[in-house]
Amino acid sequence: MKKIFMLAAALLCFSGAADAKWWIFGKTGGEIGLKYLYVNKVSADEAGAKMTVFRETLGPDGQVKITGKASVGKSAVGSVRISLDDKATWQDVKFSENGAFEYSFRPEPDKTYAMLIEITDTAGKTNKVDETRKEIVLSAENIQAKVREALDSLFDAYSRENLPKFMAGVGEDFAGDKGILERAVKRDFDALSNINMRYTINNVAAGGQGRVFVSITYNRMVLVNKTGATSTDSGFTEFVFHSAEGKLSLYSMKQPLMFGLSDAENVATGIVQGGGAGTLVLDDSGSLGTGQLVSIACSGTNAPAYKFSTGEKACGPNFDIWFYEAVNGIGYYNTFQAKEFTGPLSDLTSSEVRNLSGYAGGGNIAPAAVGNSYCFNQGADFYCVEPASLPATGSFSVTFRVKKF
Amino acid sequence: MKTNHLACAFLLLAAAPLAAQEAGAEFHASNEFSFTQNEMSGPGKAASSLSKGLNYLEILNLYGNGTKGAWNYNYTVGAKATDDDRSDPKRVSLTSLQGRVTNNIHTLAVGDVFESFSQYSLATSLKGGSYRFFKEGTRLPEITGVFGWAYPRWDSVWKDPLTRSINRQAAGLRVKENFNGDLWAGLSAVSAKDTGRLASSDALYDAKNYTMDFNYIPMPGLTAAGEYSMSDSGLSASAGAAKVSAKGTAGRFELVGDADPSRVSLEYENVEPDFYSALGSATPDRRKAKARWRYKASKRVTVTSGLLWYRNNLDGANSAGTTRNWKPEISAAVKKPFASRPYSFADVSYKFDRKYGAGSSGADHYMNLNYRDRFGALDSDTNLGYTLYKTKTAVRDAKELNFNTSLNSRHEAGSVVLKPAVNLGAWYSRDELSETTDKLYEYSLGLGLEAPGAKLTADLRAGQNRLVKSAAGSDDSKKFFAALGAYWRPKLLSKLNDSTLFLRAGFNEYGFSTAARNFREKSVTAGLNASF
Repeated sequence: MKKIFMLAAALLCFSGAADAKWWIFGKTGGEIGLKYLYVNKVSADEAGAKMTVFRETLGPDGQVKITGKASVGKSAVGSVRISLDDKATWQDVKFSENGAFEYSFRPEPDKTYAMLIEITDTAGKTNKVDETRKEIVLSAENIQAKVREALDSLFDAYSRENLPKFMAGVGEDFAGDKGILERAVKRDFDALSNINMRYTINNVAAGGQGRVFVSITYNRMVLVNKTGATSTDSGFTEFVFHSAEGKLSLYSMKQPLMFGLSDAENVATGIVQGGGAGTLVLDDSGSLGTGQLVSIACSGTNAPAYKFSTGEKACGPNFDIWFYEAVNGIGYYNTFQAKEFTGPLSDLTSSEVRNLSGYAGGGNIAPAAVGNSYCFNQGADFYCVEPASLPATGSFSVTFRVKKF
Repeated sequence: MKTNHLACAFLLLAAAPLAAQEAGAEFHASNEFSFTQNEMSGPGKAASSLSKGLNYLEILNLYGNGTKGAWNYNYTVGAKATDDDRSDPKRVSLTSLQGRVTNNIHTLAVGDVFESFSQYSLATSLKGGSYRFFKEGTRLPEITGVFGWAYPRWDSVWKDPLTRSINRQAAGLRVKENFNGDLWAGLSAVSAKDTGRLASSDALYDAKNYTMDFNYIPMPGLTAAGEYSMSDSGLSASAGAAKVSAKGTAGRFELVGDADPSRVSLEYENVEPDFYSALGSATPDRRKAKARWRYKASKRVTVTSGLLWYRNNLDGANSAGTTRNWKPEISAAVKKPFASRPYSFADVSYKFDRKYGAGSSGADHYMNLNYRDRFGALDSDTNLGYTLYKTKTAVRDAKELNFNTSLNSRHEAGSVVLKPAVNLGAWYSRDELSETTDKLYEYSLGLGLEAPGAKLTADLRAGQNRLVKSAAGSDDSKKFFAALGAYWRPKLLSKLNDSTLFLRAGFNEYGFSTAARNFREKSVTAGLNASF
C-alpha cells in the first residue's frame, strides 16, 4: 500500500515538470485556458453543458459561487472576464497572481444563465471562450422533487429492465464501482421479471460537495425466473446522490439493496441502521441467495404444507413437504430423499447440496431445528428450506426460507 | 383517514408566508396530496405487494431564506402523512428539517446535517448540528465540526416503536487547507458509538476513523485525488458477546486525464478486511484496480475500453478462500454508421467476467448490440444481447439471448400531439445443468398525448408478457398489464406555480399454470401537486 502511494507521489511530482503529457494524448499545458472550474463545488469538467442547482445546495446567502484558475503557460494572466448572458455583457473578475479567481451571483429561479469565461494573458492572447460555455439554472423545484425525479427514473428503468436508461442515472464515481453495478444489474434482469417497486421518501438532506442523502421506505414484488415463484419484501434503505450534469446521479447505496442484487457484497457500501441485510439477494445461479421467505398458518393441528415447484401452500400432510412441531420434524413425499445441514441456507453451496452422499428417504426428518437447513432431492431438482419458526401446540403456523439449488 | 393531518399541513402552508413577509425574505412551498384505491382479487392475491382499500399520501415541503443584519439564513421543513402501512408504517413523519445561518465566515447548521467529509470518513447524513469556519482570502484553513445521530429517519430520534433503530451517536472534525488553488488536503477525525440494542442479535460498534484526503491538479486536464483512512473499531456482535477490537486501513488513489480526444482514468483501492467505516462508504476486504480509456477516434466514433480487477481475502483469514475477478470490456459508439442515414446510431459492446477461487471458477461473456434510427415518421430503438454464464462447479451453465425493439412516432393533430409506441421483447435462456429452457415474450402498446393548449399530458400503456418454462412441474406464468397516467394544469390553479392535477391507474392480471396462484391488481391514484 505504501509503495503504491510513493509511486503515485513520484508520478505526480514528475508530471508537474513533464512537458509531454502522454495521458492526455498530446494536449500541452502551455495553452491559455482554465486549469479547473467549479460551480458550487461541483467540477464543471464532470458536468454536462447544463448545470442545475437547487436552493437547498446554495449557500445560506443564496448565491452560486464560481471558482476557477486561469492557465496561461509561461505568460501571466492579464484579465479574467465572465459573461452570464451568452456574451451579451461581460464583467471583470478579480484574480490572484497565480490565476485563481472567484465570482458569485444570486440566481433567479428558472432563469438560464449562459456562462462563458474569457482569460486573456498579458500578450493579449485569449482562451477558446466557447469551450467554457455552461448553462446554469436555479431549479424552482425543491430538492425533494428532484430526488423523486431521480428515484422515479431509476425505479422505472429497473422495472422495465432497461439497462442503458438505468445506468444513465448512475454517477461515474459510484462508490461501489459503476462497472460492478452494471454487471450486477444485468444479471438481475436475467434473473427477475415482472419487477414491481414502490417507495416513499423518509428523509432528504442536501449537503456539501453537491451530494444529497435520501432515506426511503420501499415495497416490491418480483418474479424469479428460475423458480417461477413471486417474492415480496419491504423495509427502509438509503441512497446518496451526486448533483452533476443538471441532474442527480446515484453515488452510493446501502443494504438492503434496491438494485444490483446479484452482487450485493460489492455493490453496497454499508448497511442501513435497522434496515437489515435485505431479503432479496441473488446468488451466482440467479436464484434468491437467502431464499424466499414463506409463511403458512393453519388451524387446529393441520400441518402447514408446501409445494416447491409452484409455491403452493396447504394445510394437512400434502404436496412435497409439511411441518410438524419441532420434535416431530418435517414430513416429505416419498419420491423425495432428504439431508440435514447445520447452519442457515446462506451458508450452503450448490456443490455440497447437490452431492447425493448423505441423502436418505423415509418420509420424515425429526427433530427439526430453527436455523438449520433441510435439503430435498427429487430427480435433478434440489430444494432446501431453513425454518425461521416451527408449529407449536395451539399455533400450527410456520415461517421458513426456501431456495432451489 | 384522519383529516386533522391535512388540516395541520394546510395551516403550515398558510402561516409560513406570513413569517416570510419581512424584507429580503423568500418563501416557497410545495404540496402533493393523493388518494389511492387498490383492489386485489383471485386465489393468489396474498402475493400482491399492494395495500387493499383507500389510502392517502400527503407530502409537504417548505423552504425559506432571508437576511438579518450581517447574517443570512435558510430553512427547510418537510413532512409526510399516509395511512398506508406499505408506504410508511408511520402515519405522520418529518422528512426533512434543517436550518442554516451564516455571515460568510461562520456557518451553523442544525437538523438534517450532511457534511460530506470524504468517502471513507463521513458520507451520510446526521440529525444534529454542524459548525464551519471559512474565511476567504486568508491562509486560514476551513474547519468543520459536526455532532449528531446517524438515524435513517426523524422518527427514530424520538425512539418511535415502529421505526426505532440502534442509537448511533457521531462526532467529527475536519480541517481542510487549500494551498494554492491547485492542491487542497483535508484531515478528518470521526467517531461513532452504537448503543441501545433492540434485539439480542444486533451488532454494536464503537468506531473511530482518521482520514487524510487530497485533490491535486498539476496541469490543465489532469487531476489526482486520493484518500487514506485508518479505523479503530470495537464490535459487540450480540448481547453478552465480548467486544472484539480491530484496526484496519483503507486507501484509494485516482488519476484522471481529460482532454479531447481522450479521457483516461486510473484507480487503485485497497480496503483491509478489518477496516470499518460506520459513517462512510466502503466495501471491506477488497483490493481493486481499474483503468478506463474513452477515445473519440473521430466525430462519429467513440471507443471506450476498460479493465477492472479486484480480489478479496486480503489477509488470508477467510476460510472460504480467495476470489479474484477480472472484468475487461470494450465498446464502440458510432454515429451515422450508414452515411445515408443521418439519424442512425449504433453501439456495440463486449464485457467479460472472470471470477475464480474459493472452489469456484466462472467465465461470463456479455455481448450487446444497440441500433437506433429513424424511418420516416418512426423512431426505432433495437437491442440484441447475448450472455453466456458458465461456472464450472455446477452452479451455472446457461446461455441467454434477449431482444427488445421499440417503435415510436409523433403526430400532430391540430393542437394535440399524439405519440404512439410499440415495444416487443423476448428473452431466451437455456440452462445446461438442468437441461431446461425458459422463454419470456413481451409486447406492449403505448399512446402518449400532449395538449399544450389544455395543459394536459397523458400516457397509456398496455401489454402482456408470458414466461414459459420447460422444467417439469414448474409453473408457466403470464401477466397482462395496463397503465394510465394523466397530468393536467387547469387555469383555475394558475395562481399556484406548477400546480398539477394527476390521475394514475393500473391493472395487472397474473396467471399461472397453477390456478391457485392467480390474482389481479387494480389501482387508481388521484391527486394534486401544488407549489409556490
